Amino acid sequence: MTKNEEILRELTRRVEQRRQEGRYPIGLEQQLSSEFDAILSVVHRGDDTISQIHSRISQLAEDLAGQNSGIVTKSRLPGITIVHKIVRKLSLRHTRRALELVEETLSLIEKQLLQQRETDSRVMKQLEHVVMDRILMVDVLVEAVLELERKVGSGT
Amino acid sequence: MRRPVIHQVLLGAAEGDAITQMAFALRTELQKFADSEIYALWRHGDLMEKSTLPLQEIPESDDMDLLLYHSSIGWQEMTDFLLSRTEKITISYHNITPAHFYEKFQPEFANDLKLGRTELELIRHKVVLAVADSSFNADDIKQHGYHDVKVVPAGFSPKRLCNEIYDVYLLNELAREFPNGYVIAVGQILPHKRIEQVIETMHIMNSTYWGNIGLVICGVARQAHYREAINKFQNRCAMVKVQFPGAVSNRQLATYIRGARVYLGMSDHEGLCIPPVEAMSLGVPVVIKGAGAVPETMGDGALVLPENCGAILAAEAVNEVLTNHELRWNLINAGYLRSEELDSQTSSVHTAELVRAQI
Repeated sequence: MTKNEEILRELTRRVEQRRQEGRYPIGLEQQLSSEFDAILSVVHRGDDTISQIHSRISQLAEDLAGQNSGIVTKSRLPGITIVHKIVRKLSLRHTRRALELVEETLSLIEKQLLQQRETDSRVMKQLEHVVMDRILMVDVLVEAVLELERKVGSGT
Repeated sequence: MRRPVIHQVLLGAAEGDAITQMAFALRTELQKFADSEIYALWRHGDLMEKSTLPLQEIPESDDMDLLLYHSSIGWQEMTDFLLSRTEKITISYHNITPAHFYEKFQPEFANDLKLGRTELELIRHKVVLAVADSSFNADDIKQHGYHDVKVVPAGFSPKRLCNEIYDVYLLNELAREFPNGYVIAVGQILPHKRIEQVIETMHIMNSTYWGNIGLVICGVARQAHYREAINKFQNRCAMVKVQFPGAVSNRQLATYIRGARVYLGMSDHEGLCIPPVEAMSLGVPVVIKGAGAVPETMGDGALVLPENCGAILAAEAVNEVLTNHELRWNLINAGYLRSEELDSQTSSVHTAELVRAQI
């Protein structure tokens, strides 16, 4: 057995002993891990929608500025490229107002979502403080109970 | 006689990035006998703008003898570029993180990782030499049809931080922030590095032993979602005070590591794992989860935990290294020896010779 294995065996034994003593509550690691997963899934879900809306707004703004339509205007047939470009310019001219309205609406939705996220974050922070206070109190109580158990145990 | 032209290609070049550091070390050796530059698709920061070139400026295939490509992830533009080239390619494989770590919450990133593995197969017929920086990575790339893979930790310099002088102001700040000392973890803040498990470990250790030991997590956050989740989780794990310095200079990094009482790593996947070796070279005992290439890289220089190790066992291990002086000094000594050993094995010269033989 290598030195590393020897140390690990001793540490594993100690973990088992402490689990039995109740110093490491059953399922502690799993609980922490699932709490983190829950946070990650919430964080991810919210951000993704906002970033997707943001990306659509950017695309729309580029489109309105005539920089990028996402549609190819090139043609293999002679002269048709120019026709495509003219049609594109005309259709942009006629649909500009509608596109501007879509852009404004998306911007409003993004703004609303960002405000909502800020509010959620504030409320979460307040709740976290409250929960943390309770957890710390429970920790202190657990320590006190363990200490009492030890005293009672040594007395008998 | 014309000097050979051998250029290196990276997806991204960034200061402090291990692959970029390796490419720099290799360039120094290649330039001794060839015209050699580093081209990157993305160049982060002023230093990279000055010391590397944009990929668009790379010479035509006819004007080059060999292209040395550093593979660690996939990107369509890069795959298209490599497929369009006609010169011989050497691949330096640094490991592509398995996509399953990201499929749930970052499917787009998972797709890039999958593309990286597809890319390995698409360019295989052009590759005349494959170099991996660990046996673990060699075995990994062999799964994609590569056979004669050379194992050389190219350009890896385990003692690169040893000559950095202390930032005394930073040390003073750390002493005030963490009066009982701190544990350090170094690496990019990414899900597979399991930063949350590092925080859990220290939270459990402090709760169990009332040590009030701090935690410094030194590394750049590459994914905003994960970073935000870590921020929130940090509030949950209130028994440990955590500091995230973000991107730091080499001098600051050396100071952070030197000042730490233990180096802790809980990553679930590593293709080589350089930061703990740097910690060993600076005399800091290392406690690390044995995932991927970690056992191979650490040798006997660290306390290597089982691959499936959880935060409780890691907390016990950290506490043991903090309180058992004999173990602590044995680990420090073993770490020095291991970093010396790796320093003598690592060879940009050897890689440069392998590359030269392909011209």
